[in-house]
This record gives sequence, structure tokens and C-alpha cells, in this order.
Amino acid sequence: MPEIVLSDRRIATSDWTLVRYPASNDPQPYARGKAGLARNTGDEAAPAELVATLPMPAHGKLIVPLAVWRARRDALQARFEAGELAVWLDACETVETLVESVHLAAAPLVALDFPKAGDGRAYSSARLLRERFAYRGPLWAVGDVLRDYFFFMFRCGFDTLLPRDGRYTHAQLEDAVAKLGLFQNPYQGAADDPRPLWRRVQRAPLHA
Amino acid sequence: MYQYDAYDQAFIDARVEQFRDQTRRYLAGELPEDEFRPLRLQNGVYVERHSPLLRVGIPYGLLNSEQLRALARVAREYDQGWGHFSTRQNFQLNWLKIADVPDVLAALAKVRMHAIQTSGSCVRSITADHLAGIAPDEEIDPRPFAEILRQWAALHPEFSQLPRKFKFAVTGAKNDRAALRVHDVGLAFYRDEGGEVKVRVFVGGGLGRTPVLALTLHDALPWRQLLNYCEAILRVYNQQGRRDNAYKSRIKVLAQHLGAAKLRALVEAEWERIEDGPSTLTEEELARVCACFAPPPYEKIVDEAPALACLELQRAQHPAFARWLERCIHAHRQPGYRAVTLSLKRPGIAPGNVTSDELEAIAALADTYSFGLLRSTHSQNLVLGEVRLDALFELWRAAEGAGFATPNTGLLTDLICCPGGDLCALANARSVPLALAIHEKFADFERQFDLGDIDFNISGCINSCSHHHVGHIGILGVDKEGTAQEWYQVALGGDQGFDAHLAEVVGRAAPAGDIPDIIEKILALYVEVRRPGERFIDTFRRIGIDPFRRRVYGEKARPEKKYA
Repeated sequence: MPEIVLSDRRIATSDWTLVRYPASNDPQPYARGKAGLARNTGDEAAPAELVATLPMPAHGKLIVPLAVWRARRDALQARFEAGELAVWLDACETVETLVESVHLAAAPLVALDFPKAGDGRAYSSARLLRERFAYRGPLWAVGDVLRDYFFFMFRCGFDTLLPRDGRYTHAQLEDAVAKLGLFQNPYQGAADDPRPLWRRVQRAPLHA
Repeated sequence: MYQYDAYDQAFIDARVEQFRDQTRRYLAGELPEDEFRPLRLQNGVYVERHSPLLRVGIPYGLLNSEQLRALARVAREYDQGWGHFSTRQNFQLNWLKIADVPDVLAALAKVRMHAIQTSGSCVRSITADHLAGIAPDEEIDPRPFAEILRQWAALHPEFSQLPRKFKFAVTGAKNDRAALRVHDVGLAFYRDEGGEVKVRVFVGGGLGRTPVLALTLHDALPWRQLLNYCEAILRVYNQQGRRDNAYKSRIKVLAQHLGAAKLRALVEAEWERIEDGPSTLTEEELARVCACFAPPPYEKIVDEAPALACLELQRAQHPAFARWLERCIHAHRQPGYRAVTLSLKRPGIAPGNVTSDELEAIAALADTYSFGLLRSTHSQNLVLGEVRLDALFELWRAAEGAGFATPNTGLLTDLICCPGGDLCALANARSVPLALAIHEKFADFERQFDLGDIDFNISGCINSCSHHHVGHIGILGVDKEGTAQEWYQVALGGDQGFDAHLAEVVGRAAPAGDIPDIIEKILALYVEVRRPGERFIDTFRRIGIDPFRRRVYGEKARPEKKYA
């Protein structure tokens, strides 16, 4: 089972299955969010056919694309209610779309995708979910979740990080977790603490 | 300048440790090249034509002699004993080993310097008016705000992987010396009629392949909202900026695509939600940071007349000193003081390049004449900002001895020039040899003084690091496949400042050897048609590009696309 890194610096295993589109269509993400946003970012819309036919395991806990949930809700509703179905958002989908289409208080978790290293859109989505939509449930980072960005992800409100399967050894994850405390006092506010440093501590010049 | 506290120091020390670990993993093969790349870039490490380059940040162009000596030391110890001041007020070392970079950064951290976000797809090191805090035309000292922004942007978790680089420039003066309108965000601080500090926010300027002047997004932003509003801009850009094509991913493309009204609406919708948030600036925090920028202990000089009279005598006796006074001295708000440019544009030496020995000599000048304080300029010179009027002659002597008294500030040979094809992996052509050739051809000071103010910019490629689009005369290295020669395109009429203009291309590209003659023809026409006291750029505005085109290419000159 794939390993996950938790914000309390534990490493655990995940019993969730991430359902993705076929690899041939990765890493170019699909846009099923607002058309305007996709036009701006240059993403391509997901073919409706793919959304309608994407195969899914019949059992177990699944994290499915938001578009699949939206298109096939009737078929998936029971599994959602049983706490065995969650959705993941593409980087080009808006948090507003998620909030419109998923009853977040009942969702077992929400996952945001990092489609490729260097694509930082999910950081904004995570902060908005936490700070604007007051989502308090589990928030997962999936996709290109690289250890050198764990700190940023936790700061933006993710509490569970799922690196690609086999990407890191357990020892590497332990090393990454051990280094999470490197920056004790970040300058700016974020989802973990909205106060900038100058509101958190008394600051005085070193060489007064 | 800004005084680090224990938090600032711990932060940059931690950053060194983080990069040391990342470098170790890279060298051990644990961190693949494509994953290490963005990490090293955000720490200022490029891999250039010959070897890695480290770009050390000089936030808003302010540094002290201790820092200059540290740069000299690392350049000597880890590099070839020289470095380069860049067009964004930073300092570059060109011949490092990757394995040494953590040690270099550790040495620099001891003098409160770092290379955080001097490259990469993030908020870059912030640039400012090089006369900030001392210029008589300044209403608001922008440096405390630049420092507040530096801290806000440093390892900002949400904006650590933007679609592309993001550059801020700031000023608080009536004249824009920081090229605000060619930056992603330009911030102009001013005092409104009621005495409140406000910010004019320009967004979406940039050069490169698609030169665009920034549009005004906010005319009168209250200063307390600075971080909230910037956060709103960055959030919109982070979510909506293009990521599918590196050439279309700057905020200028989004701004052009949406237009001012739509972009403003998006930013304001975002801003409204965080307007009262905890990042709203307070008087206390501003006062804390402002205290660091208190003026040095000036001597109280009420009457400048005696010193001025003395200067007149010295000026009459030493024509070289007279030339230097005319070009390299800048007005100061403190009576009895002046700012002085130490020219890094010397014949036979690449613009902005200095050796370790020279850096130490400059540090000594700063200690003796300017309270140990220096500024780097976006025209790749250094400025001693706090020099007593009655010390100018002595300083001139010393600067001349050290080789930094070339009296060419703002003149043709004050060329702005990127490292170009000699070092840069992106360049189509070398820019330094051309800069040197032009310097040599126009070295005569009598001629240069007669030609007067000319901004001359040479970029080795379309990435436009030398801002050739906003030079009065701009030269661009172009790619001509299948030719052994290097080719260049000449453009005229660019201008920076609040009333910025983009340069127009004169005509088809020419090989390197022809460029000095083309410049000669352009300047000859200017001299023929100028009105008394009219600067080159003013003549250009009056007569337009066509006469220059005909002069260079003859009557067959055909119109070219508008911008280089």
C-alpha cells in the first residue's frame, strides 16, 4: 500500500485508490472547470466520453476525478454515502466547482492534484478551501508530490501527502519528515497560521 | 539599511542548510536533474554555457562594504576572482562548482546575503530606484516597503511555483528610475492630498519576446493594503496564468488577454475577501522596518556655499574632474551631501564586471566616503549614496586611481549590456565584444559630452536582459542560421520612466562589424537636425524613425515590424 505523509510528521499507509485517466493523457491535465479559466491556462477540456467511460474498481475506497463524480453521480452516490468515495481536483479546476458539486462536510477527504512538478495551482486551491470555504476535513496532495515541497504543501493547508507510488523509499520519506522543522518561523501567513511573522512574535533588530 | 534580527538570520541559515541537503542528494544521484533544476534556480544557480552561475541577491540594490568584501572573498576563493553586476541590481559569479555553492551561500549568509529567488518561477529579488531614500524628488522612501515585500515573498508557500518568473520594482520618487512599467508589478509610492501614503500599482509590463508596458491596476492603494493586494494579484496569476507555453506565461500575457478592466475585477474580487486579513500592514511593523533605514549620522551642513566655491576652483584646474562632476554626481536631499556614481563602464572591460581586488577597493571608498553604504544600479554601476560635498575632489582622486571615475554616467558609453553569448546559454550573439567596440569608437569624451544623454542597451537575445526595448538606442542579437557572423538588430526611441516607450526597429539586422557604423550614421543625423539643447531621444520623438531609417538603409529602406 502506498505511503502517505501526515502533517503531524507521521508516515502511514493509504488504503485509498487514486483513479486517474489513462496515462497516455497525462501529464496534460484536462479542464473541466470554468471554461474561461481553462482558456487562460491553456488546458484542454476532458473528452466527455472519457469521463463517462473511465473504468473504476468495484470495491474499495476510491478517489475519483471531480468530473467523473459530476457526470456519474447517481451511480456513485451510495459509495460516497458509505464514506468510500472521494474526489480529486485537477489543477485547472476551481475550488468553486468542487464546493458546488460535493457536500464537503460529508466527504471523507478531498484531494488536489499536482499534475507536474512546477505547477503550483493546487497551493492556491488548498488555501482557498481552508481559509475561504473553511473546509476542515482531510486534504490530500496527489500527483507530483515531491519531498522538497512538503513544507509548502503543509503550509497551504494539506494534511496528507501522497507521493507517486514507488517514488520514495520509506527511509527517504523519514528523512524528508525529519527536515520539516527546518524553517521554524516562516515570514508570511498561510493556511497553517494566517498571521505574518510580525504578528506572531516580537521583532527587534539584531544589531540595534 | 535593513538590520537582520534573529528570525531573519535563522531563516537564511536554514535556507543554506536546505540547499546543502538538496545539493548533496543531487550529487549522490538521489535527486534527478529535472527535479533539482527548479530547486537550484530558486537559489540563484543557473547552469550556463561553461559552468554554473550563482546570482546573489542585492535586495533593492542596497549593500554595505562588509557585504562587498564578502562578495570579493567568495569570488576569489571559489570563482576566478571577478563577478558581474546585473541589470537587476544583483551580483553574479560565473565559474563556480555546484558542490561549492552551499559553502558560498553559507559564507554570504554570515553577512546577511542570500540568493533566494534570484531566479526561477517565483517572486524574484525586488529592484528599486537606486537613489531611494536620498533623491530630492522622492516623496516616500520605498525601501521599507521593498523589505516588507522581500520578507513576504521569501519562500511564500502558495507562490513558490508560479507559471513563470515574477518581478517587482518600486519607487517613491516623482521620476521613475526603476523602469516600473516594464516589470510584472511596478509600485509607485506617493503621498496623497490628505497626506496618506498611497501606491500606484502597475501590472503586466515586461520585455522579452513580447514587450508590453504595464497597465495601471490601482491608482491609490492604501499602503496598509500592500500585501493583501499583491497577494490577490499573485493568486489570480497563479491560478490563471498560462502554463502550457513558457513564452506566454508571464502575467503580461494574462493582462493583455483579459484587459485592464477584467484583470482588475478579478484581483479586486480576490482582494475584497482578504482586505481585513492579518497581512494588513500596521504602523508598528512599518515603523520597525523604517527605523532600519534611518539616515546615517550626517554632519549638519547649513551652508553649501564654501564647499561649492572650493569645487569651482578645483573644477577650473582639473578638466577631468569637471567632466566627472558633470556626469557622476547626483543631487541629494541632505544639504552638503551628494550621491556619486562609480562607473563600471570602462574601456576594454565588460560592463558591470569587477575583480575581487576592485570590489575591495570600492568597499574602502565606501567606508571612507559614504558611511560604508553602497547601491547597485540597474544600469550596472555602483553608487556611493552619502558623500560630503567637500570630499568630492578627494573621492574623485581615489576613484580615478582605482579606475572607477570614468565620467560617462548617462552617456553613450554607459552601455547596459547582458553577459551575452560569452557566458549565457540562452544568447544568440555575444553582447560584450560589441559593447567594447562601441565604447572604443565613441570613447572621446568631448564627443560623448556633445552627444549628451543616451541610454544605450545591448541584449544578446530576445530575453532582453539589457532592456533594449526601452533604450534610446537598443541592440538585439538575433539568430541567423547558417552564418558564421553574429547579427544584430538596431532599434530606436525606447524610453523608461512613467512615460515609457518601446523602441522601434530601424531595419534589417546587420553583422557585428557593421553596427558601430550604423550607430555612427544615426548619431550624425541627430547632430545635424537637433535643436539647441535637444537630447537624442527628444529629437527622435520630434522627427520619428523614418529619417533614421533612410539614413541607415538609403531610400530603399522598407518599414519593419514595429518592435524588436
